[in-house]
Formats: sequence, C-alpha cells, structure tokens
Amino acid sequence: MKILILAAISFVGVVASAQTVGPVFLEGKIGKKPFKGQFLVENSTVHPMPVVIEAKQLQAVDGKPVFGALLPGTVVSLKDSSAVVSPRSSRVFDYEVRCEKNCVVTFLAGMSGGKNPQGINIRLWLMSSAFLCSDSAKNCRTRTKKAMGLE
Amino acid sequence: MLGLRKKLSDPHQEGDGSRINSMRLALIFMLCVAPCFGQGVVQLQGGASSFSGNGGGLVIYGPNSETHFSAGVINNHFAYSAAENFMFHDWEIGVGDNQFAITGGQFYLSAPVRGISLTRKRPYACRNDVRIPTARRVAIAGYTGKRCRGDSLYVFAGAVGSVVSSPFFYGIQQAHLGAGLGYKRELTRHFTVGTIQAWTRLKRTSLEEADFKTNHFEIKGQGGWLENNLQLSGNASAAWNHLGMNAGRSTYVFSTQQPGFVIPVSRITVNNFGVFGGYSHFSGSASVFQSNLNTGESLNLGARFGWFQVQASKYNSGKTSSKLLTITEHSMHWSLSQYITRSNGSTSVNFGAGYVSNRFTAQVGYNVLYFPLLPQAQAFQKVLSVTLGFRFKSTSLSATTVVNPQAKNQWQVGGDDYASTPLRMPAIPGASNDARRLPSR
Repeated sequence: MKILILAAISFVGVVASAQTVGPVFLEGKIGKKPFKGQFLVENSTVHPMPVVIEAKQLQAVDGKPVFGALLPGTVVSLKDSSAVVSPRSSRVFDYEVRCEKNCVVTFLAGMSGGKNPQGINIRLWLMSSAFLCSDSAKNCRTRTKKAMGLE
Repeated sequence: MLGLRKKLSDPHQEGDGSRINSMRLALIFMLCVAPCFGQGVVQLQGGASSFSGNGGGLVIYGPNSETHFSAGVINNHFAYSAAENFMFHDWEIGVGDNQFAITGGQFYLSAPVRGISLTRKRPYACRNDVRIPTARRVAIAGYTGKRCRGDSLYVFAGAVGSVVSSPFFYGIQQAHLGAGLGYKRELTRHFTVGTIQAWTRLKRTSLEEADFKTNHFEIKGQGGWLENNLQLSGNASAAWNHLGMNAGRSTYVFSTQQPGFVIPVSRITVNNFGVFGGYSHFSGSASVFQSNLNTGESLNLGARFGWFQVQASKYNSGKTSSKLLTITEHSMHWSLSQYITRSNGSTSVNFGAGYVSNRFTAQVGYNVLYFPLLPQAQAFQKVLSVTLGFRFKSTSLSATTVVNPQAKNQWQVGGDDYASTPLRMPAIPGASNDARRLPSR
C-alpha cells in the first residue's frame, strides 16, 4: 500500500501555471452610444485553455460588495462568451455596456485549471471591471466606490 | 494465527518471504532511481527568409523540464543548438547551448555558452533571528536581531563563443573555454552592490557596481573592464509622478585585443542630461549629450486625446538634423498612422494602416526612408512594408517584408505550433515542477 501511495505521488505532477486578465478595470462615461471596451486573457501554459466569460454587476448591500445578476436598465453585449485560448498566446474579448445610471459591470473569466490530485475540477476566475459614470470618466472608479461606501 | 506462525517457520516459505522482500526493495529502488514519466507537449517552429537564414526547431515541455533543439543554415553555414533547462531547488539550470547574459547597471555581458549555466535569485526579505540554546551552543539564546537578505547569482562554465542567430534558430561558433559569475547583493533595502567576473582565453571581464536608491532618487556607479576595455560610468536620477530627470557620465577606454595587456588607444567620455514629464493629455522630453567625438540634442512633445495621438520630435546630432511629426488614430481593431519627416533639407510623407484581431493581423505601410549607405542622390527611397499574421487553434503563421540597408526588399515567413504528444516524457529526478516559469526563448 505504501508503495502504491509512493507511486501515485511520484506520477502526479502539479503544473505551475499563471493566467492573466488585463486591464483590471476601465473607466467610461455614460452617453447615447454604448460604452465599448475590451479585455485580454493570456494563457501562459503550453496547453490549450478553455475560457468562459460571465457578466455580473457590482452592488453595495449594507456597505459590502455583492456580485449579482445584471440589473434592469443595464445591457451588456459580448461578442464571444467563450473561447479556447491557444498555448502561450492571448485572446481579446470585446464588449459593449449601456447603463441608465452609474454602474459597475464585472466580467468574470473562468479558466479550467485541470484537476487536483483528488480528482476535483479546478476553475480559476479572474475579473475585469468597467466603471461607468454619467458625468465624467475621470476618477469614476474612486467616486463610485466612495458612493457605494466601499472606501 | 498458529497456521501463520507455522507458515513463517517453514524454511520453504522463508525463502519466498525473502524473495518478496527483495522484490519490494527492488520496486522501491526503481521508484527512487528510475525517472518518472508524464505527458509532454511539443512546440514546433520554423521559417524561411531571404536575409536571416532558413531553419527551425522544437521545444519539448516535459513534466519538469524543457528540452530545446534548433538548427538551420545562415550565410551558407550550418548552425545548431541543443539545451536542457530545469529548476533544481532555487536554481535555474541550463545544460547545453544557452545564450547567457549578465547585466550590471549600464553594462551587459553576453556569453553564448555551450556548457552549464546556473541562476539563483532570492528576493529581498527580512526575518527575526531567534536562537534556541542547544547542548553544543549555550552562549547566545533568544532574539538576536533582524536578518535581511536578497541576492542573485549567475554562474556559467564551458565553451564560450560567438552566437549565430536568426528568428528560427541559433548556434554557437568559434567556441573556447571560459567561465564567469555575476553576484548582486542587496545590503539594505536601498543599497545594492554587485560584481561580474568572467574569463575566456582572449577576453577578461571584471566589473564592480554600487547602487543607492530611495523612493525618488537613485545614484549608481560602475567600473572595471568589459572584455578587456576599461569602462567607468556614473548616473544620478530623480523621478516623481509627473516629472523626472537624469544625468550621467561615462568613460570608455578601448584597447587592442592583447591577452594579458590593456593598451589604451582611444578614450571617449560621454556626458548626458535628460528631463521628461507628463500631465493629463500631454507629455514631453528633452535630452542633450556631449562627448569628445560628437554633441547632440533631442526634443519630443506629444498629446493624446482618446483615439487620436500626435507627436512632434526634433533631433540634432553634429551637422545632421531631422524633424518628425507623427499622427496616429487608434480604434478597437484598426490603427492609422501618418508622419511627416524633414531630414537634411528633404521632406517626406509616410502613411500606414493596420488591423488586429484574434485570428488575423495585417499592417501595411508606405514610407520614404533615408539610406545612408546609398549614394547621396539615391539616399531617399520609397518603401512598401507589409506584415501579415494568421492564427488558427494552436498554429500561428506570419509573413513580413523587411528593407535592408541597400534599400532592397527582403521577405521572411515563419510559423509555430503546439501539440500534445502521446509519448510519456521522462522527468528529471530531483528537479522541481517549476520549469514552466523558465523564460521562453
């Protein structure tokens, strides 16, 4: 039995990988046209990496950040909601966001990270956020966080 | 239970038990000695060119190592390289052909080595030193202070020569025995000292450096012999959020290539000063340099408003001067650029366009360039440059045109692909699984 455990430990390799999503946030102004943005998902491993994108909206509930479904009045269009990123390469995801009032839309990029030694699937979620303000794009993130009581 | 005792006491069964024990020991020995195997990934790359050789190579990503092979023909000479890279504890180890480089301040020592190269980097960190009394050591016990350490060590040894490289492969030629090391130590969080020592049959390098750095200011100095040439350099700089400046002075004494002797035949001293800044949509920089051979200055002003960017530059060096106005428009996938150049009394207009997407990349430019090697009447030539790139799944292909100094169009095509191999690749015993963080070449 000890030999089997030793053999299992010897044959199970842990691959050190580092995926990247950028930019972490974008700031924009709410206008007549929807806000256009993009973020990049980078696969630094040597294996193809499936990626799924989910759009969430950030709200403050009792002074705590809560990621939930998109609120009425917020429209998000994603050109691609999933992709397979080639080894050692990257992929750009384009999006459009329309809000009626100040909003924070977060795009969660879920990347399959293989299985752990116990056989459980691991998925890594990294995010890129769009902060939209009705008056000006400058310092929109800081002002939104202050208004939400998150600073 | 009695039956079991009886079996164990049976001499025939004792023989079977020892055989089982020896088989068990053999299996444990094989597990410890024999390499582990894991699924590998192979990266294939190759290309052809009318100016930088034809060749290719492959990289095998094993469970805890990278194996590199590349070969090709450049200028009618065959060149090849083979290397194995892996991590062993804190050490990044390269065995075979590696383009090893050691940097220290403004100095850069490139050592294409066919042998072994070792790199160890430990980031600056502090810990509390608490000594526990033992039977052997009872004099000092308890907290003795904070111990901080941060250093990086580079070592190489083997055959050192000149490198023959193209975008698709590289090789080492005219190699002779050599060895060297570079060590940089952070004495405090602000003060770093370092040394570079290297020996080959014809050239010797011995450089020392010191660097003092705070949040906004940095002063550094280097001195010594870089491949038999005496060099001294000092630099001071200051930087804030919107403004920065630097000043430096460097002296280079060039010597003939005599082993064991340093004979100065030429001495050049360069002084330089620069200031740069940026606020809101605007940015600018200015610099001047002066030496006993030449003097020069440059001025650069720019502004950026969303998708629109404009930049004006002016360069003066001796009797030559040039002015450049660049306008760039950039959208999600498209980019357009126009620039007007006035150099040595001649004005030219250039423009280009590009498109970048996940699958396809294209850039086309029409330029009038100055070729100093051509006769004066033909020095300005119209040049069309094209770059195309295509990616499908794990495969990428690219084709580009390049203009050589004789104003002739050259071409280059290349591509690479990643493939999982059904073969089980051997693992290096004792190596850590961090080989994938090795810098890709």
